[in-house]
Amino acid sequence: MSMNDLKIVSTQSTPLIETDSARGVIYMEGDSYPENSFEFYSELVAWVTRYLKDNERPLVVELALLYLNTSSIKVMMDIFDELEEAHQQGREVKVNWRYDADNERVAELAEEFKEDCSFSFNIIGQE
Amino acid sequence: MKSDIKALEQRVVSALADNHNLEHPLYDVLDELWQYNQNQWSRIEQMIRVSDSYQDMILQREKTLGERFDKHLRQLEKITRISDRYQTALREANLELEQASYIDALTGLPNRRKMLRRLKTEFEMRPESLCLAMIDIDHFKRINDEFGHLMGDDVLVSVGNLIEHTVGELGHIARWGGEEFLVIFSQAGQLEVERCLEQLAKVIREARFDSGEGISIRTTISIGKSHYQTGDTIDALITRADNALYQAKNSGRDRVVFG
Repeated sequence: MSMNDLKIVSTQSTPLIETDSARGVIYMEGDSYPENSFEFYSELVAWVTRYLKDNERPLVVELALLYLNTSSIKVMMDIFDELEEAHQQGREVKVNWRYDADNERVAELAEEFKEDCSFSFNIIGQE
Repeated sequence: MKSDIKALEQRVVSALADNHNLEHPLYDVLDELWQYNQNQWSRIEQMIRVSDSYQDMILQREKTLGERFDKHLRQLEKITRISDRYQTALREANLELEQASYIDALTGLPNRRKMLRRLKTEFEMRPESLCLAMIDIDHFKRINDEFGHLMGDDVLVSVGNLIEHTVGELGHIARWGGEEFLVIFSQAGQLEVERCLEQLAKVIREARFDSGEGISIRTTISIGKSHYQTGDTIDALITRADNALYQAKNSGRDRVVFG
């Protein structure tokens, strides 16, 4: 319970990232094309690993991501892989990917990410 | 052969166990040889065990490496696919934006930026046949003041449509500024252009725009025309059309002045 939560404000090239270890939620919103994605996401990746290691509680990932550069795609896939592994071991994990219903392209891309995930992965269009 | 060894071992064990042999001169040397033989066997067994576990380890490692390789390959393919789709989406969005950046949002006509590009192209291809008509709605501010900006916008759109329709294939229209339109004629004869512009002034003069309150709004336009002269630049051509428009305004509006 004493985990350090993240609160990273969004910039033009990086998304907002917030974690809530008490509720078991990660929230991400915006575009993601940092100059160095692996460095930018290192804290989040570490947080996920620690959260999954430290307790047995469910984890919900709330996403409203638009544009991802290639290295950000890699980071997201790594995180989803980790969630998948946890899910295989019986953990309750869920991804809710929300998008503007006017922008079908975002939904198509979210579908690509969903493909290899057997846990609950919802792609939700919003008016 | 193996059973012979078993039998031989049995004979050695029995001989060493028999107390009658203790005093035999070969007893010590046989006993020592037997111990040595047993040590060798246990060493060989140990070596086999170590060797087996090495093989296990390598097999395991190869399997893990193979799994990791497969996983990375799968990831790479997927990343490439997603990345490509993002690029396609961005490119499409770019094209849409580019299209939008050449269109005037209110009238749906090409905007000033688009017109400048067209002017540049036409000017490079065949400047000698270029004609410009700068068109301004007369007393447009009064329409806005009297009927409101929404009605003013409607009139603006209608006038734009009428100009486009009247000019037809002869030229290309753009919204140039507030209530100003610019028409470019690239392949029409002077006379044809002048007749078209006179006709245009007449069409607007006779048009009635419904104000929605039972009142029909009337308006007129002033037009300044210029045509290419030797040594012209695009700016000079536009300036002469502007000046002609200014003269049309100053000499009573609702007319065409050929600069």
